[in-house]
This record gives sequence, structure tokens and C-alpha cells, in this order.
Amino acid sequence: MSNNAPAFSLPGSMWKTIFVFSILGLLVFIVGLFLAPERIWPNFLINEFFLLNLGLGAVFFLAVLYVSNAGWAAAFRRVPEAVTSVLPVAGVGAVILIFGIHTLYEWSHETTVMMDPILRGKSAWLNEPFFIVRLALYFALWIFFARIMMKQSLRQDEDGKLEHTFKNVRNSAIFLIVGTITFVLASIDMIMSLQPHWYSTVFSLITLSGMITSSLAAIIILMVILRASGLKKIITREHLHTMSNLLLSFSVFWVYMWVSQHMLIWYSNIPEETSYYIFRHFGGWGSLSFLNVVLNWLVPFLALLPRVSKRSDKILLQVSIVVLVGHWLDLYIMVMPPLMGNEPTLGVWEIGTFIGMLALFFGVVLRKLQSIPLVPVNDPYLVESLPEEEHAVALK
Amino acid sequence: MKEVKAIIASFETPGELLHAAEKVRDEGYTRFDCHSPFPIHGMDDAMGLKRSPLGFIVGGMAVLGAAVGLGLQGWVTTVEYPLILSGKALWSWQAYIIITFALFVLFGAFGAVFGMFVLNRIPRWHHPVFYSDRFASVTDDGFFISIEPGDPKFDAENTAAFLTAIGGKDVETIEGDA
Repeated sequence: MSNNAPAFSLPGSMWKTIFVFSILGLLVFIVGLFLAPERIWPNFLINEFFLLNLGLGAVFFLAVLYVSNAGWAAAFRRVPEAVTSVLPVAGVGAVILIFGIHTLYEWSHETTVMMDPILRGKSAWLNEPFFIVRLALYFALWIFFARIMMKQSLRQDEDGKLEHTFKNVRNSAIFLIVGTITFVLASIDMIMSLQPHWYSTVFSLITLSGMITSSLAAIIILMVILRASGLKKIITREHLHTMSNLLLSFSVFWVYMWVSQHMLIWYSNIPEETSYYIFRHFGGWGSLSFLNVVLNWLVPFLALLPRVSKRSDKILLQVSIVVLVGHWLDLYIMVMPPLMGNEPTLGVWEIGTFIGMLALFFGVVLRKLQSIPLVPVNDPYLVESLPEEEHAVALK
Repeated sequence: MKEVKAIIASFETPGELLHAAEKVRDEGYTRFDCHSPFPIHGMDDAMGLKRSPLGFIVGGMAVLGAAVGLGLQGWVTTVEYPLILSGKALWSWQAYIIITFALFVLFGAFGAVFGMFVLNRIPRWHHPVFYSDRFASVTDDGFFISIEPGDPKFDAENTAAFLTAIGGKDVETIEGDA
């Protein structure tokens, strides 16, 4: 490892802000547990799922880079690697979530299940002990893969051996299969089972594309922060450009999946399927569903089409924030209607927990970025990823 | 009657070609071209090329395609042949999305391919530079600059001398039938 490798540190005032907001979020959650438990648990679920999306999406991003032998992103690979470090935090969140099962999930009440033939039929999968076992399994696998990939990458910094890259290619290939299956099941378990009568085969693809989109947006925000703190030569405009191309295409993929589910259910018009959209297409929920498509697709699509905006830190930062808020709204519309009834509510419980979760996310990730070397100096692809005048960093 | 069709000069390396292109650009030539076996980074700037308008052609065509798709379906189902299908409204935009999207992509792709043809003046069966025997090496290891008489600054003697002055080897004036 070279001593003059670029490092990153955040000013103390920023740390204070992040700390204050995460404590505020925690306080809102604790107070909410006593004052409005039926409203705080859905919000906790949204933010827990959001946090897990950000972390797991980064593992997917890394895995795709490895299996496709992508060289372009090596220079800033530590950013998605740091993002994966929120997965253990989301794991703690999953433990807390267990205490909210009865408030959230209809299928967790034995008397309800006994009276309901459909739920009785599904009870082999949807029951409390198995749910907890599955959650534990998902998080154990995700954290395991995130850890071993990070470990190989950091080891390469020290000994410079090529085998770490090969090992990570293999880890990534396995993860892409294991991770996809577990995430599909996790979104069915955590989100879709809120309406246990209803099912959709595209549902997990909506959450999957939403996960990748929001995770890319978070990585772009972190890249912009790093650039602003003086790493413009390592994290270049070309990197931002490619990342925003990815963000644009995954935002389009998200709306493609969204339309696939919406249109097919609208077309066949079967009561057991339309029950999902009946709730979400009228009144306040209808406006929010419209806003959801605008924030998650229309805004990023129109804003990121011109080349100029893909190369501008400022515009990318704004679009990424819009996408993060849009992803929250997407989850809000998925989670809230069956629990909160006919009209959406937005108050301190919603905003407080969301801001707290974001502060927690950036706190954990930025701390990680301070503690690890920012450039994988021995990565075989680093030269390919850096502009010519920065090659010295890679050749040290 | 013969007339000058182009003047070509060869260069040894991609780097030489790049810097020669900068000098040709700075000299004020606008109708010249660089030929190499592979793309060279920074060549667009060195030649003083503007960004291609192809993106706007593709975008315009795509929007046109979406408008045609949506408009045609909407017009048929609400005005020309209104028919209630499975109890849904006449104007059922959800059902139109697939074809609207497909025509959006199709028109955009047409715009990209045929717009590229127009901008590159394709099809064109022959070009004067092919009269040069040495020019064939451009697909292997040759780097060339060609300047054509259409350029306002073109002058058969001065241009040839200029190309030699900036380091061009084997400067060749290509003549063909008028």
C-alpha cells in the first residue's frame, strides 16, 4: 500500500449533523412505539427494507462488475464496497422487525388464519417461526457474501496477488444466483405478504429494479461527496457519466416492470388480482401512485437524457435525491394501504424515520470510507479505470 | 481532363496523426479527414469536430413514433370504430402502452440508422482516396490525413507543402477525371 494514496475525511460539523439526525430518527421510532405503534411499525418496515436495498444493491453492482470483468469502475470500487457495510445494520433492523410481526402481518394471527381458508392454505410458508428462520437465513447469506468480497478486495491491497480478483469473480457468480433468489423471496416475505391473499409474479422484479436504482443513486451521491472533498482526479467525470447511464437504464427498467404488473392486472381484471390496485388507484393513493412514476421514471429519464446532465455533479446529485425519495414513496405505496386504510397520511412518523434512516446510512458508509484505503491500489483493472495522468497511483 | 480530387499524407503513429490533425485544424481547414485502423482518443477535439446531431434526430423520431402509436390507437378506438371491450373505457391508455413503446423504439432505431446514413452521406460507392495504392494500409497500420478541394483554404501546391511541413510523409496528390 502506498503512503500517498488519497484519503477522505468529512468535516466534524457534517458528522454532528449526521449524528443528530440519526438520533432524531431513533427517538421518533422509540416515541412512536408508545404513541402510535400501528403507524410506526409500517414505517420501520419501509426504512428497514430501504436500508437493506441500498446495501444489497451495492453487492449486486459489485458482483456484476466482477463477473463481467469490468475495468471502468475499479477506481471507485471502494464506494459500493463501503455501501455494503450497512447490511449488518439492516440485519439488526431485521431483529427489531420481529417484534413488529403481529402489528404488520395479518397471517401472524392464528385466529385469523383459522377463519380464512386461503391463509390456512398458505400457512406452511407464512407462519411466524419459519418467517424468522428465513429472515435470519437471508441476512446471514447477504452479510456473508458482502464480507468475503470486501475481504478479498482489501487483501489484494496488501499482497497484490491476482488470485483475489479470481476468487471474487467466483464469489460474485455464486452470489448473483443466491442473492437474486433470496432477495425475491425476501420481498415476497417482507412486503408482498402484507396482503397475503394477493400475489403477483412480477412483484419481486419491481422491488429488485427499485433496489438497484436506489442503490446506484446512493453510490452516485457518495461519489459526488468524494469528488467535492478533493478526489476529482480519481473519481472522474467519465465514471459519473457511466454511473448515470446505469441509473437511467435501471430507472427505465423499473417503470417497465411497474407497467408490466399494472397493465396485466388491469387487462385481465380478475378480482383477486385487482384488489391490490383498487386501493392504490383512487383518492390520495391514486395521486401518489402517479407521483411515484414521475419521481422514479419521468424525472430521471428526462433529466438524464442530455449528455450535459450526466457529467454535472450538481444535476446528478439532485436527480439521485429525487430517485431516493421516489424509492421511499414506492415502498410507502406498497406497504401502507393495507395497514393504514383509505387515505395516505404523512407526518412526523414518516418523515422522521426516513431522515433518520438516511442519516444512519450515510453515517455508517462515510465512516467506513474513512477507515479503508480509498483506491484499490493493486487491482489489475485500476490502470484501465484511471485517466492517463493518474496512472502513477496504480503503478506505485 | 484531370483534376485534383484529394491530397493525402501519411503519418507513422496515432500520436503523430493526432497532433497533425490539431495543426490542420488550427491552420483553418474544415473539409479534411483523418484515417486510422482504430479509433483514437481525443480525435474529435483535435479535428475540431462538433458533436453529432444524431441524438436529436433519434430523440425527435422516437417522440414522433410514440405520438403516432398513441394517436392511431386512440383515434381508432374512440373516433373511427368505437367498441366497448370487456367493459373498459373507450380511451384505455393502459392498453396502448405496448404499441406506443414499440413504435417509440422502432422510430428511434430508424432515426439512428438512416440518420447515420444521411449524416455520413451513405451510400457512396467510391472515394478518390482509394485511387492511392498506399491508402490500403489504413486498415492495417497506416495513419492518413486527407484534404479535399471542397475546402475553402485548399490550394493544390500550398496544401501539399503544408502537409509536408507538419510532418506528413509521402504526400500524394490524387487526380481523377473531371
